[in-house]
Amino acid sequence: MSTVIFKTITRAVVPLLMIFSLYLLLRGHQLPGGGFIAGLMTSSGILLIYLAYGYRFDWKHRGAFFYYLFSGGLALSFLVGMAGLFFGGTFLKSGVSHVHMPLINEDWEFASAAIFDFGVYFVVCGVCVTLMTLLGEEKA
Amino acid sequence: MIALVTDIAFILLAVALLFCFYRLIVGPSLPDRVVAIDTITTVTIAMIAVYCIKEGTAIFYDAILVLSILGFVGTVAMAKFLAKGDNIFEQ
Repeated sequence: MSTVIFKTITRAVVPLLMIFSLYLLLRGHQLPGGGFIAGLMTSSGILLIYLAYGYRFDWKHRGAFFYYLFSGGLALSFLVGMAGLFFGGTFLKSGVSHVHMPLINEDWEFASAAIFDFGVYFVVCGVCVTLMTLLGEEKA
Repeated sequence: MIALVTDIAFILLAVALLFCFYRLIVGPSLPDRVVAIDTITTVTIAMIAVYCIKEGTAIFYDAILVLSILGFVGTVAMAKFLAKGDNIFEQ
């Protein structure tokens, strides 16, 4: 069903897509980007692979992975928010620390909101892939 | 000069968007509507690019990349749905 052109384009585009989604995820703290759009990019890359090379949904193997990715991301975000409640005072309060990186000789800013963003990334990725694979296999 | 050119480009793109919406609403068959949605995505990308030129900022170029990728995946999925029917993930 899939042509050679589509398969070749998928093989060329998907690695760039994954790098771009990581870039969006890591810079989302101060610039446009963030967990949601990065998860959308990653799930569209995975769906591109499934569309080109075929996929059959099963709860045993890959379907369960994305299902538990969704739950784990939600738990991670919730736990990071609760950590703000325990250490800082309010729910979802973010802690910031500046770390001096040794090789490139720069000060990097690490915030705990980035971990919350990782949780959002896992949730969006799991929900999108699970939803689209279930919808795509629906009998007409 | 650049402000006048970008304003004219906005007007032309808005007219193109109106034509796409006409095809989306009236379009007799499903492939017409799919092509209309794909063209609306492309026109939106062009509008963001013209806005970036008008404002002299490069911060919305990532939005262009994201929109183009999502439009591509959506169009491929709809094309496989129209060709295949019930299961778009079938080889």
